[in-house]
Amino acid sequence: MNGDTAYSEETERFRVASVEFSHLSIETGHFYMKDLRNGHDAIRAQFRQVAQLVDLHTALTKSEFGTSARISTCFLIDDYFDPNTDPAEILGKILGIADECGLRIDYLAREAGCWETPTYVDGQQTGQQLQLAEMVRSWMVPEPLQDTTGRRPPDVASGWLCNGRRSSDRDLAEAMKVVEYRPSEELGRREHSVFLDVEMWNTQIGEDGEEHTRWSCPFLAAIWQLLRLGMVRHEGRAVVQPQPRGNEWPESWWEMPAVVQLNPKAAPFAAYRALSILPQNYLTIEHGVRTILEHVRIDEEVLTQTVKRGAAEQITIPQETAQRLSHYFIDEVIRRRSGVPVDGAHYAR
Amino acid sequence: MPDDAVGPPGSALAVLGEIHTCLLPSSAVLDTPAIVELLSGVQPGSTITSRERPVPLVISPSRIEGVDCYLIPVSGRRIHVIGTVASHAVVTGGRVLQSSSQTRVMRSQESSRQPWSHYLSRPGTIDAISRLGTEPARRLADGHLGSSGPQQLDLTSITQRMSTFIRVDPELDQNMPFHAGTTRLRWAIEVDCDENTVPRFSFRLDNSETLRSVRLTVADRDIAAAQRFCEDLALHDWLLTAIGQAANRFGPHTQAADTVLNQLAPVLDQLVPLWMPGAHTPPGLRRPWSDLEADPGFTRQWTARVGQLRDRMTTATLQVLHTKIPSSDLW
Repeated sequence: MNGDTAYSEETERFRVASVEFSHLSIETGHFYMKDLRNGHDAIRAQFRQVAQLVDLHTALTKSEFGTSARISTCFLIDDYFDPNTDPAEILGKILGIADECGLRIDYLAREAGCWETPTYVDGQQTGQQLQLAEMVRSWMVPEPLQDTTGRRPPDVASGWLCNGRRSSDRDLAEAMKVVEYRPSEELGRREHSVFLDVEMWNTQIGEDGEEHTRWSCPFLAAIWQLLRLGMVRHEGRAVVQPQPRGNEWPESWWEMPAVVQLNPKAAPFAAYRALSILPQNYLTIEHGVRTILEHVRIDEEVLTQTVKRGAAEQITIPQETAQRLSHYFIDEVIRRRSGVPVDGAHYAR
Repeated sequence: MPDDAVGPPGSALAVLGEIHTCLLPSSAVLDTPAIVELLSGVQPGSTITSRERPVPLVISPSRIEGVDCYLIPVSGRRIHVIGTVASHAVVTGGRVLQSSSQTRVMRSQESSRQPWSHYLSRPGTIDAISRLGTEPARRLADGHLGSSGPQQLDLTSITQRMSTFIRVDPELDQNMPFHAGTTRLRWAIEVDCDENTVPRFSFRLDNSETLRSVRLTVADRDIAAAQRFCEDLALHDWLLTAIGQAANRFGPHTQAADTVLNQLAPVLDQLVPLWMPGAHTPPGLRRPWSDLEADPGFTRQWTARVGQLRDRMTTATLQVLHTKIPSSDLW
């Protein structure tokens, strides 16, 4: 064979768009929409703590990767569960308080953008929505129990995901025979189980009488973390393309891009590492998020590309997505400033 | 050979697979964009690979599913494995559908189950948790081609599901221009830790109609090429089987001549251009093809079958003409 002859075709090779990576992405707190509608003090108290933590983690990252380390910050708006709010009012409040607290927010994202995300070509919205949650659902690979040979199809339809084997109650209901109770168990545990069963979605009948899927907060948050880690492509194309901020906010959330770039000089949105600084009541949600991420199969080409990119910067990127994710759960101990009352706090006057 | 003398950690001991080949259930040959659309549901979001030359070939990305079961080596104790099986679909010439599943058997670094993310980060591999004994690669490869049991890895069902997933797509009209059965090809690779090993190969018809077995010994670097070789071989074996079935169905004097013409024309039109043994086999695995051409002589058999069907077509054409053209007495 002639060693100089090589035939190839363009479509033969995988074409996966590369995305830019920061060293660290920091999620700067989170609120339910109802908290955003209410007073300012809770937001201010959280943002003050977050601002200090951002400074701390920025310093840590620079000491690890050098002073030119790329660090971006982001904030996720809960517009999926409470869409009927005014973006201008809510964003004016959040960004105003963040500014006042010295908290820099580089990117603003919408949680509903993790469900369906507007697509762009050359910065222009195409009017098409990518069904992101539906796509990530198809990437879920349930963990097999013992004696899973492949004979039966995997059970993914229920909308629930657990980290092990459910108790025998379910078997009893199915088989109607009395067997000794067997508790739930975690698979891959060291000795004792911490069993978790996460609801990823359910099916609801809408006002139009049609069935539709209602995605859970942990499932959408898992997609959010995948986006921050640069692990999502659609047919090779990057899914998140942060769009510049317009002159004014639209009247409804769905008219906004999934991710808005507030700071034109920001480091890339996606990062090798993602840190979420969150109130502590999000611990269970994030446990669910991690469990979901441990069952999501990432496209090998995307993963390989990321690992290579890291290696070019002398950084080892683990294959397992959740190992690139860390959390900081803030407590609610607040130092009162002298003479400044705290909203809703019951203290002796 | 002692248990620990087979390959470095992280290399596969054996690769086990199965391929089901059938006619795409559609009345027309589909073009590449239609096939790309058809295969896009296998793993939404991932890219599809296609080639136009020498014959259009579209390969879906792989989908994986988890297994926790046993492998039964040809001798010795059964081996507990945990991990995933990868399956994909291949459409050749817009006409032939293959579903193909495989998994690489790895030596586990741990003797107990790992968190699921460990297995997901290495899709299409299974870790052997049990002790492997001597010559595990050979015994596992031979065992896969042997009998099956209830707790044993069931690649047939997994491969069948992938095939069904594609076949029931509403874009396919389910009208096939001619009848052709499904063939199953089981394959097993024994991975030789000698990187310079020359591929060794055997092919067996277990059941003349539907089941075939392929046994290969290759170096680790040739595994992907060997998988592709098995798919290429399965396709050509199916083509031979399908054309053989057609030849049997349309033997002399069995059908009315115009029925023969209507049914044989699409067989010849649509299947003959697909015969390109080794066209989609990577260079490292082309030698088994030349061996197959020597014995049993794949292309010889194909050419003979095609010739037989063309003769039958000619005869049928003459019969039809004879009944339609007025007799020469009238001239």
